[in-house]
Amino acid sequence: MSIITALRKGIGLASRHWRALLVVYVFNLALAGAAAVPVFRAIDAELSHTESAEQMAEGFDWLWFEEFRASRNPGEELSVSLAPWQQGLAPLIVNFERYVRGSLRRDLPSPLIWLGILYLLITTFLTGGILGLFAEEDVRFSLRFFFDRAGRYFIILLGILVVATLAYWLLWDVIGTAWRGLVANVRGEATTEWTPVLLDWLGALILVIAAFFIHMVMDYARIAGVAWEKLGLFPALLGSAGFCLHNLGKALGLFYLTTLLAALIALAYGLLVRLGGGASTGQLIVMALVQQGFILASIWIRMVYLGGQLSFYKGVLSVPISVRNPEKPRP
Amino acid sequence: MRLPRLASPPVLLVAWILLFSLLTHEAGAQLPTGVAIPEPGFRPIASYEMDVRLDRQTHTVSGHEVLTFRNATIHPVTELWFHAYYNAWKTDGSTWLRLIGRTIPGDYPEERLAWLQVTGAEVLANMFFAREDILETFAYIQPDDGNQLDQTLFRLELPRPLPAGGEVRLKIDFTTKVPRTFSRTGYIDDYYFLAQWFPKIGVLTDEGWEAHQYFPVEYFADYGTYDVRLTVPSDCIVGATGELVGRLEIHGDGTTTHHFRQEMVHDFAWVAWPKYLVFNEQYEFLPGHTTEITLLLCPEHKKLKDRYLQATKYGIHYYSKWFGPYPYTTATIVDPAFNSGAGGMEYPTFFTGGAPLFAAPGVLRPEGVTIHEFGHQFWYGLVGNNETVDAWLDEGFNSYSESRVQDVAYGPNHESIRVFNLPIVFDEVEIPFKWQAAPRYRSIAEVVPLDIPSYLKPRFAYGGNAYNKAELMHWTLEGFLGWETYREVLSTFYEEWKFKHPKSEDFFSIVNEVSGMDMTWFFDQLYHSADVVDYAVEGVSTRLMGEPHGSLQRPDIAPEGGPEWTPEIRGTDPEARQIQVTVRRLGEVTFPVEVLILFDDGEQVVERWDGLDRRYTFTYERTSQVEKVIVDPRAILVLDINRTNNSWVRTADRRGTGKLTLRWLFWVQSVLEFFAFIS
Repeated sequence: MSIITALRKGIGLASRHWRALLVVYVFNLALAGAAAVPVFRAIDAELSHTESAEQMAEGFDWLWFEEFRASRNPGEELSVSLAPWQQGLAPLIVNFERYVRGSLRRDLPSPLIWLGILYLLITTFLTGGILGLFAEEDVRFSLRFFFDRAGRYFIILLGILVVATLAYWLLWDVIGTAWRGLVANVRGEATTEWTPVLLDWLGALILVIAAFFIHMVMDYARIAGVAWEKLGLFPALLGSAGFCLHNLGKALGLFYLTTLLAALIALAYGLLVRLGGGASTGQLIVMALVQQGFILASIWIRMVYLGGQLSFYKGVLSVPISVRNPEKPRP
Repeated sequence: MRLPRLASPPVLLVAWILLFSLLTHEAGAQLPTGVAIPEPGFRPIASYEMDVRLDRQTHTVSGHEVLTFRNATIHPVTELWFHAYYNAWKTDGSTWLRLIGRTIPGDYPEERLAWLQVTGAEVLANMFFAREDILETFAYIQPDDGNQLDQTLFRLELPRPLPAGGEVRLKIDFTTKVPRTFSRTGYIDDYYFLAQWFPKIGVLTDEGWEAHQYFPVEYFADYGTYDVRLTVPSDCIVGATGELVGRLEIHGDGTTTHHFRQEMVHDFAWVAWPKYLVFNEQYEFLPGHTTEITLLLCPEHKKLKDRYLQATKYGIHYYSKWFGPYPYTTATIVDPAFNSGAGGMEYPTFFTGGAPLFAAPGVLRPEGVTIHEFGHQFWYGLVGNNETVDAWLDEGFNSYSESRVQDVAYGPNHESIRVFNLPIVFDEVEIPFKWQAAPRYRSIAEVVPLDIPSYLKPRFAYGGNAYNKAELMHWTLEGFLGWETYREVLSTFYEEWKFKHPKSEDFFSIVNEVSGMDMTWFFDQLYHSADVVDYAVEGVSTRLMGEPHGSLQRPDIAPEGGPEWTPEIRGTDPEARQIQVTVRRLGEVTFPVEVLILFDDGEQVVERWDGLDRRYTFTYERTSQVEKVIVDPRAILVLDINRTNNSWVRTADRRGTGKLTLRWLFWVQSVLEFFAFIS
C-alpha cells in the first residue's frame, strides 16, 4: 500500500468518525475550560472595572499585565501562567519547542502538569475507542461501542504509555540533558554565537526526529495491540518495532506526510489569526471559533495518524484486521 | 579551506594593517588629537602616560605608567592610594568574591584568575621632589572592612608631604594578568577587553582619600589626560578611550603599537581582537559640533551596523540637545564578542553595546544598550559622580535619559520571546518607556532607600534601587515640574558639574533653584526613605437625598466591615443624588494628586487633592451618575506601586477579560494536545 493511499484512508477514517473526534474534544475543552474559570475570575476582578479594560480589549496594557502578574499569590499558578505571548501562532510554537526539548513539565505550573497527565490518561483510554472504531470496517459510531472498545484496550494501551514514557525519559532527560550540557560547554568558550546556536538546532533536530520515531513505534504497538487482542504488551512492542524497521521508509514517509499536513493546518491557523483581531464581542467570538476549530483539527490530525498507520499496517500485512476475529495470525 | 596563494594570512594581514593605518591616519589628520571642548578653569588632577604590551601567550599586560597627580585639596598629603581592581580575582576571600558568594578555586579555575602586580614605583624629579624609589613603602590597605585577604587597594608613601596645589610624578611598573572575564573585563580566545586594569589612583578630597576596596559596584576617579601606547599582536584591531595618535608603529616581532590620547577623562579602557569589522562616520550632531563615530563590530552582527550607528547618533544628538554638547571628538562603540562578558559597559568616549545573533526589528537591542552606554558619557563620564557611593546619580539619570531618547526616537519597545533561539515579536504588546522600570522597582521598593551607599546595598536590590527607582523619580519629577523645567534642571546640573564630582545634595539644590520650588519634601520621602507611593480609588457611593441607596467599593482596599462590592447602582430615582467619591492613600509617601471624575452625562471634573490624608471624599449633588474615577489621570506618579487601583469604571468592560481568557484557554488546550501526543 502506498503511503498516499494510507494517508487518504486515514483521513477518511478520521473524518467518518467525527463523533469520536467530538468525544475527545469535549474532554479537551472540559478540562481546559475548568482550568480557565479561575483564570477568568482573577482577570475579571482586576481588569473589568478599571480604565485598563478598554486598552486591553483594543490592544494590550503592558503595565496592567505586569501588575496582575506581580499581584498573584503562589497558589494562583494558573493565572500566573497567563503571558503576553499567548497570541497568534506563538503558543503552538512555544508548546512545540517545549515538547521537542522535553521541557513541558519543567516550564508549566504544576496544576497544568497534573491536568496534562490526566488528559494523557484520558486520551490513552479514548485512543482504544478510536482504534476500535477504525479497526472495524463497517461499524457505525455509538458511544456504547466507543467506550466498550476504549475499556477493552485500556490496559494494553496503558502499558504502552508506560513504555513510551520510559523511552521519552531516556530521550529527553538522558540524551537531551547530555546534549544541553555539551551546548552549554561550547557556549561557555565560544566567541561567536553561531556555534552554540547551530549545535542547539542540531540537538533539537535529533530530539524531534527521535521523539517522532518513538511516537510512531508506539502508534504501531497500539495498533498491533488492538489488532491482536490477545497479544501481550511486549510482543506488541516488538512486533511494532519489527514492522517499523521492515517498512522504515514507508512508515516514516507516512508519518512525516501526516506531520506535514499538521504543519499546514497550523500555518493556516496562523494566517487566520493574523487576519482576525478587533475588539468587539463579535470579533472575539469569531476568534474563539477559529481557535476551537484549530483544536478540533489537532485532534483530527491525531486520528489521521492512527487511521493512516492502521490502514498501512493492514495493507502491509494483507490481512483484514478485526477484533471480532482474534485468532488471526500474529505478525 | 585553503586561501589562494596571494591571499595568504600574512599578506592579508600586512595589507590590512597598511590600509587601516592609512585610513586612521587620514581620519586623525582632520581632527585635533584627543582633545575636548576646552573647559574654562579645568585643570587635570590625575593624568597618565602609559606604555604597555599585551602578551597573548601568558594573558598578561605589562609595562609602566607615569602618573602626574595634583593635590587639589587644601591639605598636604603624605601617601597616595591606588586601586588594584584585578586583585579582586587573585585570592580567595577577597571582598568582591565574598560579596558575590564565590570562592577560589571552588568556583573558578586558575585560568580565570587575575592579578595586578606592581613591580616598581618611583617618584620622578620635579619642583617638589627629587627622583626616589618608593616601592618599599608599598602596602595593601583595607579601609572598608579590614579584610586582610583583600588586595584591591594599596598605598605608596611619598618621601615628603605633597603640599596643597602641588604636583607629583610617579613611575609605576606593573604587570596585569588578564582573567577569563570577570565583571566585564578579561579575555576569551583571542578577544581581550581591558578595563580597570592598571594601578589607578583614588580621589583625594579635603576629607581624605575617597577610595574603597573593590566591591561589586562601579568606580570613581579624577579627571586628567590619558596618553597610552598599546603594543599588541599585529593582527589585532584595537579600540580604546580617546583618539588614535599618528600612524601605527609596526614592529619586527609581529607586534604593533597603537597610541591613544584623550584629555579630560577619568578612565581608560581598550579592546583588541583580530576579527573586528571597523566602521567610521563623521557625525555633525548639532550645528558646528562634530564627532567621529567608530564602530567595532563582530562579523556575525554585520547586519546590525546601521542600527548601532543610528542609535549612537540618536544618543549624541538628544543628550547634546537636552543637556549640553558632547565635548569629545570621538565616540567608539564596541560590539562585544559573544560570551566575552564585556557587554553593556561605559568608559570615557568608549563603550560596549551587545546584541543577540538574531536581533529582531521592533525590539530595541542593540539600540537600548547602545544609547544607555553612550549616555554614560554624560552621566558618569562628564558629570563624574562617585559610582561606588551614589550609583543612582549616573545609573538613574542615565536610565531615565536613555528611556526618553528611545521614546522620542523609536517609540515604544515590544514584547518578544525566543523560540529555538529565534525571536518572535509581539507588536500588539507595547512597552512604554516611561513605565518599563516600574516592575523591577516594585519588586524591591521597600528594601532600601536610595541614600544608602551603593556598595552597602543588598546586591539583589541594587539594580531596582539605583537604576529603576531613580529612573522613576526622574519621570515623576518631569511630570510634576514639566519637561521644559526639568530639562533645564538637568542641563543646569550638567553645566555646573561637568568634570567635577557632584553628590546627591548638589542635585537637590539645583532642582530647588531651577524649579523655584522647595522640593525637599520630595527627596525626603523618596531619596531618604524606602516608603512607597500608592494612591487608589476606594469607591463611589450614591445616596438618594439622605437615604443610603447602594455603594461601590473596591474589595481589595475597602475598610474592614465596610460595604461589599456592588457592581450596579440600584437607584430608581434619577434625580437629586448625593454622590461621594472616596480616594485613598495606601502608601506612606504623600504627593499632591489630581482626581478625574467623569459623569455619565459626559461632564468631567478634575479635583486636586494634596494627598496628605489617608482618605478623602469628594461630594457632589447631581442627577447623573459617576461613570469613571481616575487618580492621577496624567500618570505623573510613575512611582505609584499599583496603578491598577488608581481607576474605577462603573460599567464593566469584559472584552479584555474575555480576550485574555480565550488566549489562555487556547494555549492550555494546545498544551493538552501535546501531552496527548505522548500517549
